[in-house]
Amino acid sequence: MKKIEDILERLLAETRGIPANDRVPYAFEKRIMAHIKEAPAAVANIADVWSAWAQSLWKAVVPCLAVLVLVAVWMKAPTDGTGATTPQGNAAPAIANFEAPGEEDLESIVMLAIDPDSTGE
Amino acid sequence: MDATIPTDKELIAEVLEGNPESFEPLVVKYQPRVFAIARRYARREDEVEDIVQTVFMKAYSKLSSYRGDAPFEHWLMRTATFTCYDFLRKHQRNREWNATDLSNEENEWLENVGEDNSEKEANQSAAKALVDRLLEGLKPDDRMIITMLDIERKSVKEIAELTDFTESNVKVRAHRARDKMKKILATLAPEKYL
Repeated sequence: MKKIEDILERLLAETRGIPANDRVPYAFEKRIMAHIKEAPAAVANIADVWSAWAQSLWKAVVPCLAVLVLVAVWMKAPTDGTGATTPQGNAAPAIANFEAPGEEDLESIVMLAIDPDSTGE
Repeated sequence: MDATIPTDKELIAEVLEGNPESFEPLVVKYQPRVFAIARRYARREDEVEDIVQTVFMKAYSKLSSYRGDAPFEHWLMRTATFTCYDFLRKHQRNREWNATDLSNEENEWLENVGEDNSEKEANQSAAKALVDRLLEGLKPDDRMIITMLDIERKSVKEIAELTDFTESNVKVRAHRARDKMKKILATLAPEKYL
């Protein structure tokens, strides 16, 4: 009966006896250098894409803010019951409130569109 | 004549100053060692070439992180070790071990183990094939440790430096891995060895 430990040691010893294979394929360094020379261009392209994306985001900030302000003003402005907003120059902007009269008007307008007979109350 | 040959540090400085061509002499100098390491872990030549290419690409892209307090070769070999570890993790195979998997040469080696054999080369390649089978049954980090410790004959300290494991962790893992290899070896031909 052969001992497993001895066999394993023998296997490892035989394997150690094989010299390391350090053969290099012909002109392998040229292949590496070709990849390296391509790499900065690829990195630059990625950077270009990101900078373009960042620029477009910054450009979008002003229009987005303008739309936000317009919508806020429209939502807060008191209405005259016909659905048309009548901004009042001397009125201070109201704080958002679920019980704001404008909301009731909006509801009655929507109901009127669905059922012309309803009064909205 | 020697004065005209730039040192590793000079070449690295040139690369970092924006001259990628200076990296080529470093590739030429160290690629045989990196190929030798890669061939310990990958069998197919295309896999070996991919590993070596990845090692040098990583080294180039992270060259600015090389501080220069240790030889460049050590830093590169660490990069090679981690790249081989990544390769092993990606290509981990789960095989069922049985004697029918063995080739005639491998069976013959196991039959004649301990006997003097004149066909040394055939013996060695059969032994290597068997060791590869055993190593494939190990976890990637254990495989790396056994390869470095028992085949490349690196010291525990060297392995700890290359792998970021503590020295005691290397010893524990090596012990555990050898036990696993013995178990796998026993399953290869249980009627002979158990």
